[in-house]
Amino acid sequence: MGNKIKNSRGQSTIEFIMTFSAAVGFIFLFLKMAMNYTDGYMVHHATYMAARAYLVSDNNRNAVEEDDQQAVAKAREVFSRYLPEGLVTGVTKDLVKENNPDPGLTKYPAFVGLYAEYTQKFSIGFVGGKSPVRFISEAFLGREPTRRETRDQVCRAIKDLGLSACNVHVTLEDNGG
Amino acid sequence: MAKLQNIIFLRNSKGQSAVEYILLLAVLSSIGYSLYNNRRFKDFIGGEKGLFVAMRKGMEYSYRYGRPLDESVSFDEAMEFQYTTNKHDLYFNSNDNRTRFFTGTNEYGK
Repeated sequence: MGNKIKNSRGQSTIEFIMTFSAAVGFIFLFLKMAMNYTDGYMVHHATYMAARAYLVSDNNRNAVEEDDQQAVAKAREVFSRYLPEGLVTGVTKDLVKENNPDPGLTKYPAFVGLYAEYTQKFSIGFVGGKSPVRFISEAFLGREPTRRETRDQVCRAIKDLGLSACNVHVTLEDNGG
Repeated sequence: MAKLQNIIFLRNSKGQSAVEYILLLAVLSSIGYSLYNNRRFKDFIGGEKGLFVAMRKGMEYSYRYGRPLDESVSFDEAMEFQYTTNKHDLYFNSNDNRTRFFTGTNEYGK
């Protein structure tokens, strides 16, 4: 045997490296999972704030659909303000999708609002399988009727009272009946 | 035996710890290796039914619905929900067959 292994110097270093790498690996395993949670909370918050913008956005457009599209654009802008691109891996404002208030598109009004779906790696190595974690953040706050929709509703009500058009000044009297 | 004791390299205990160390390392390595190559262990850690997959599914479900994943829930159905019915686990209570929203039992007075 050579001179190098005639004493036990370095043994504790080797043991330390072996146990330290195992311990650090174990810590990082759960740290990655914890990061998934913290990222998830941030995305939830951004989706919620975007859904608030979507709820009240009104650009006074002539077409309801155009107003809804602009509301989605506004919501995405708010989303990216709370969650700038690159802050959470794989999350961009384009992930934000809407459940439109149109009953033809969203059957249940309880689900009108926004949601964002993204995936992340679950843990380190092969732990937890190969499939990524699929996160779906939902904020169904609904959507307020726009000025255009409100005007259309009032116009329809006026027409129901017998007027042929509603582009004239009309005074409605409530007789308390 | 007496003859053996006279052999030069057995007259002291030098190397005993090294031999023990090697033996222990061999035993631990073989245990670790067999554990690592064990199908059940691999499934448990990295398969589609093991501990960490259960944690992953629990994470996905609770993230979306804000409630823990339990045996009464069909995970795949819940995660593939596309808003075409009202059976959203956060909105609809399948056990009571009604929504989680509530209102007064008596009609509001006129």
